Amino acid sequence: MKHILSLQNISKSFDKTKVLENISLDIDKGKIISLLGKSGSGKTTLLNIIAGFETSDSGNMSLSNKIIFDKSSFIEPQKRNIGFVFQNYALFPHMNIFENITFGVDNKPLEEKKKIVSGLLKLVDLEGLEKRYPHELSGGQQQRIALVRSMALNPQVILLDEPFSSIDSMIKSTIQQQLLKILKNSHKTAIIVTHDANEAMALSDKIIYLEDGKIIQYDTPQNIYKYPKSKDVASSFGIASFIVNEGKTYCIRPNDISFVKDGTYQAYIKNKLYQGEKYIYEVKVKEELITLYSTEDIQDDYAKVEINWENLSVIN
Amino acid sequence: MRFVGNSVKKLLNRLSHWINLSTFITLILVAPIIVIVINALGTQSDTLIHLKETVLSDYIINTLILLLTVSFLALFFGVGGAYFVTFYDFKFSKFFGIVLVLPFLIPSYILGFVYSDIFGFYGVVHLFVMDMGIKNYFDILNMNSVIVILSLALYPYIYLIVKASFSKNSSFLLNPALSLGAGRLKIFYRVILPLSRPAIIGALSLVMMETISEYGLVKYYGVDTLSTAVFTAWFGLNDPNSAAYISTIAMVMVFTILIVEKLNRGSAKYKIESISAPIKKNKLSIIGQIGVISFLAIPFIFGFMIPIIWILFYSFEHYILIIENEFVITVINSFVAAFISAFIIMSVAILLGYTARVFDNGYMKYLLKVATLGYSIPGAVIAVGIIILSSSIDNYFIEHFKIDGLLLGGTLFILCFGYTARFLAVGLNSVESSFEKIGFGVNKASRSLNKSLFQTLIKIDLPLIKGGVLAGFILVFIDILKELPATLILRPFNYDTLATKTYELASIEMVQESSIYALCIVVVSIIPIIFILRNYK
Repeated sequence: MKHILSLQNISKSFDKTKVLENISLDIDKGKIISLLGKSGSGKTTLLNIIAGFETSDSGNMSLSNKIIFDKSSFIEPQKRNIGFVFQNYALFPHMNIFENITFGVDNKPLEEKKKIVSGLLKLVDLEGLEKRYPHELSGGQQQRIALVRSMALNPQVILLDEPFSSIDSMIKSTIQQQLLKILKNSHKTAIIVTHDANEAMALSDKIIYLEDGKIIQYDTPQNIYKYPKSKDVASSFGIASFIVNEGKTYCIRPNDISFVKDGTYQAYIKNKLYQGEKYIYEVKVKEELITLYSTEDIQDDYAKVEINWENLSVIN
Repeated sequence: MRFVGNSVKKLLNRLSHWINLSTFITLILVAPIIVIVINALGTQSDTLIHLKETVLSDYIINTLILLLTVSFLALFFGVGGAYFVTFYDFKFSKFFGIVLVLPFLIPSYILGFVYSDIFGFYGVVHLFVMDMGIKNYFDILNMNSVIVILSLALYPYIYLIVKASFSKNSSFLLNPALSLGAGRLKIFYRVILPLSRPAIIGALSLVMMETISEYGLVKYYGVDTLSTAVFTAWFGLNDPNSAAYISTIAMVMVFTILIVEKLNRGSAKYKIESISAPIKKNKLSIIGQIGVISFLAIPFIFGFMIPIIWILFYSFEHYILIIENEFVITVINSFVAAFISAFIIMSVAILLGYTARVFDNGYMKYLLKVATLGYSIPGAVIAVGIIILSSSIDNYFIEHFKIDGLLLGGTLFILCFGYTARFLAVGLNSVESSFEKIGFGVNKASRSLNKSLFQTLIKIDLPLIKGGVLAGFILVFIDILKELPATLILRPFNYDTLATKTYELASIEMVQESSIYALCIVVVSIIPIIFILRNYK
C-alpha cells in the first residue's frame, strides 16, 4: 500500500465563499508533507476536513484504503485514527503530562500506560516530566508533549497545524530539527500546515502549495524551488526574477545569474545591497528587472555590465 | 464554523441527538410564549371585550408613560453619572464611580416599600410635617413616585454600560481629537456620544424591558400597567383569554424594543477594539465640584443610602423574627427553589452552549436566541403561559386517566420550570463566555484522541469551565431569589419565598416587619455586584 491518504475532489464553501475547490491528492506512507499557502488559502480548512472537524461539501477521502468520507459515510474524528497537533498545542491545562499523554489510551492498564508514556517521553528527551502541568513547561516542551500525545494512539497520520508559530525564532530551527527527527524515527506520515516556505523546505519530503483553495503545485522542495508553477510559488520560496519572452514567462533564481565578460545580455545596475559575504544586485535587462548575487563590488551606479544565466524554468 | 456545509445534513443525521435534544428543550421553554399567542389570537371572551372597551387603553397608556419617563430619568442619572465619573476629576470621583452601582442591590419593589413607609401616612416625614403644623400632606402612592423610584432602581444599567463605553471610546480617541484642536465638550458631542450610541440604546432597552416587567412596585403604588393587568385578568377576573391577550400586548412592546435595539446596533459602523492610554480627566472648579457631587449624591442617597439604612434599622429592630419558624421556612423555600432551578438552568445551558459550540451553525445560533427569549419577557407573562399550558395538561390527564388532583399545577416543578424559562439567558451567557475563553482547540484535541463528544464534554470542557458554570449558577440563583411576579403566580400553595414574603408583608401594612426578608435579598445581591464591578471597570 503506497498511498496512506487519498483525497478526491474535496470542495468546501462558507457562506457562498469557496474555500477549497476540487482538491485531489495522494499522500505516501511515511512521508512528511507541508501544506503551504498564504493566509486564507484554505490550509487549515483542508487539515480540519482531513481530521473530520469540518465536513467537505463534495468528494471523498480514504485512509489506508478505507473510506472515511464520501456521499454516504462520515467517520467521526475520534474514530479516524488521525493524530492532530494544534497551533497552540491544546494541552489540557487541568491534567498533568502523564494524564495528557494517556488521555486517548486511558482504558489501558496502568502498567501499560506507564510504558507508553516513558517510551514517548524518551523519544522527545523529556523523561521525568510526567507529573508536571502544561503551564510548567516551555513552549518547545509543550509542543513536543502535544506531538507525543497525538502519537500515543499510534495514528496512521499526524496533522500539525502551524506547530512553530508560537515558538521563539531563536530556537525555532532547533525545535524543527527535533520534530523532524522524531517524525522520521517513528516512521509517521505527517502533514504540517505552515505559511513559512523555509520551514516547509527544511521539513518536508513534499510540499503542497495552496492558493485560493486550489492546489497550485504538489512536488518535492527541490522541484518546487527550481520549477515553480506560478509567480506566487516562485516568490514564496526565495528571490525570483521573471522574464517574459515570446509570450512565455520564465523564472530565474539569483544564483543562476552571473556577471561575465562578453556575456549574452547587457544590463545596467539599478540597486546594490551589501550583505556581508555577498552583494545583492538589481539589474535592468531591456525592460526586465533581475536580481542576482555576486561577491564583486561594482562601484558605479548605473554601470553597464554583461551577464549570463542558466536554468530558466517556464512558468506558463 | 465546525460542522457546517451543504452535506451537513448527512452528518447531522448521524450526530443529531445533540441538536434534536437542544431543539426539544428549546420548544418546551418557549411553549408558554407560544401558548399565550395562540390563546390571544383565539376567540375573545366577554371579559376581554369589556376590558378592551373600558380600562385596557389606560393600562397601555400608563405603561407607555412609565416607559418614556423612566427612560428619561434613568438616562439623566445614568449617562450623567457616567459622563462626570469618566471625564472629570473631582473629590470623591472614585467613590462615586463605585457607589453609583449600589442601587442594583435593592430590587425596585423593596425600594418602593421603604419609601412608602418613610413618606406614607404614618411615616416619619408625615409625622414630622404634622408636628410642624402642616395639614395638607401629599400621597406618595402615585404614578410620579413610581417613575422616580423605578428610575433610581434601574439607572445603574445605563450607568454601567455607558461608562464602560465612554471609557473605551475616549481612551482611544480623546488624545487624537484634542490634537486636532477640538474642545472637550465638542469631542464629547461629536465623537464620544455618537460612538456610544449603541451602548446607550442597548442599556436603555434593558431599562425599558424591566419597566414593562415591573409588578411589585406598580401594584403596591396602585398604578395599573400591563403587568398588573395580567394579574388582574388571571386572579381577579379568572379569564385566561384576557391574561393572554394583555400578555401579548406586553410581548409586542418588548419585541419592538428588541428590534429597535437590534436595528440600531446593526447600523453602528465603527467598533473600537483596542484601549490605549488612560483618560486624562478635566479638573473641576470648587463650584463645579459641589454641583457634580450634589448631582451624583441624589441617586446614591435615594437609591441606596436611605433604603439600606431603613432596612438595616428595622431588620435590627425585628431581628427576633430570624429564629421564628416562618422565617426559617421561607429562607429554606427560597433556597430550595433557587438551587433546584439554578441546577436545571445550568444543566440546560451547558447542553445548549456545548451543542452550539460544536455545531457552530446558523440553526444553533437562532435556537439559542429562541431558547433565551424568556429573559426579555415579563415574568408574569411567562407565568401565565405556563399556567395555561400546565392546566391544559392537567385537564387532559384528569379526563383521560382519571387522576385525582393536579399533576403539574401548583407544584415546585412548575415554579422551577418558570424560573428556567425566564433565567436561562443568564446561565447560558456564563457558559458561552467560559467556552469562548478556553477556545475550541482542547475540544478538537480530545476528539482526535478517541473521545466522543459526550466524553469530551465530561472530561475536558466541563472541568475547564467549572468556574464560569459556578459563577453562572450564583448569578441565576440570586436572580431567582429576587424574582417576584412569576413566583407569585407559579408557587405552590402556601409556599413563601423571600421575595413573596417581603411583598406580602408590605401589602398588609407590615412594611417594617418585611425588612428582615428584604435584607436577606440585599445581602445575597452583593455577590453579583462584585462580579459586575469586576467586569465593568
